[in-house]
Amino acid sequence: MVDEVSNPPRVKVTDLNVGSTMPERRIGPITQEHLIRYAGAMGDFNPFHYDAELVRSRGFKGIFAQGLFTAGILGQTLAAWAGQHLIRKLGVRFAEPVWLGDNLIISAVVTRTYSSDHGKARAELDCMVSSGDGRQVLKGYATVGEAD
Amino acid sequence: MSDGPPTLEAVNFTFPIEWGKCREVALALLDPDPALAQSDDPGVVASVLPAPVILPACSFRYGPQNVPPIVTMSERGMVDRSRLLQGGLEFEFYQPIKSGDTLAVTERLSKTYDKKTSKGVLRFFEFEAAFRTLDGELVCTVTTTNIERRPGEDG
Repeated sequence: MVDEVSNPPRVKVTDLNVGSTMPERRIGPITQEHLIRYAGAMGDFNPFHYDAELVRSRGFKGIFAQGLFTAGILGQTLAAWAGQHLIRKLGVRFAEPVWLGDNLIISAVVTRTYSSDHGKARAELDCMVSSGDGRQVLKGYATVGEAD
Repeated sequence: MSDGPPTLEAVNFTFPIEWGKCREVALALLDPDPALAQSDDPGVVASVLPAPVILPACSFRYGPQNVPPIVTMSERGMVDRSRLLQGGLEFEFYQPIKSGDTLAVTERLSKTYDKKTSKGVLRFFEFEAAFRTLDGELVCTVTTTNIERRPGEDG
């Protein structure tokens, strides 16, 4: 299991500028064990994430990951970088399936910095999760900064 | 199944943020903090853990239906699960959530609307879950969008 950014240093939101990036994180390959652990932890027992016969009978090439599994990895990567208490917003759109065996590349770039109505430094980010073969599997956005 | 947009009653329940659940979910999400994997003893790992970012999305397990609201609607024949797509989610945090907290949750179908596309009609269901302290302070909202491909040209 590759995890190339295991413990990135925390950033200061006030140090972020447009174009600042979160250190890219590469993890994988995604295995059935990952999906089963996620299913048990979050309670998502949709059989599309563990029943190979079923997913093939429905025309899919194989088992794919829960969308929120990928979103959650992005969330924890952002939290480790910025500080969990500084996550103000995380939005995600699922673009393509994550298949068993896929590697994931998690990245984010600052697109806007501003002060909240209460003067707290905030940064907005575009986030992306790609597969090792170049497919964009998740698009997202986030806001980090102190709560008002 | 009626053609009109379905409705769903709001549900209210409490959601205890358990230390073990925070750790279990963080580990399942490959949290990069190596301390989490070292022990399942709150005396060794931090005794208060931040809730993983997406943890509120599993609050339905503590609700009366024990399934996400879109599944309740499917079980009641209000949507066709085989035509459902997951649109996206948005989490908005007004305060940090940590183990030991107990949150009051109100989950409701907040919006239903149709969009005509070149491939037919899509019906959007937006669910909003609001998480508050037991004193009523807003902590977090989670908006989930599910999309149903309506029967039409494709059958």
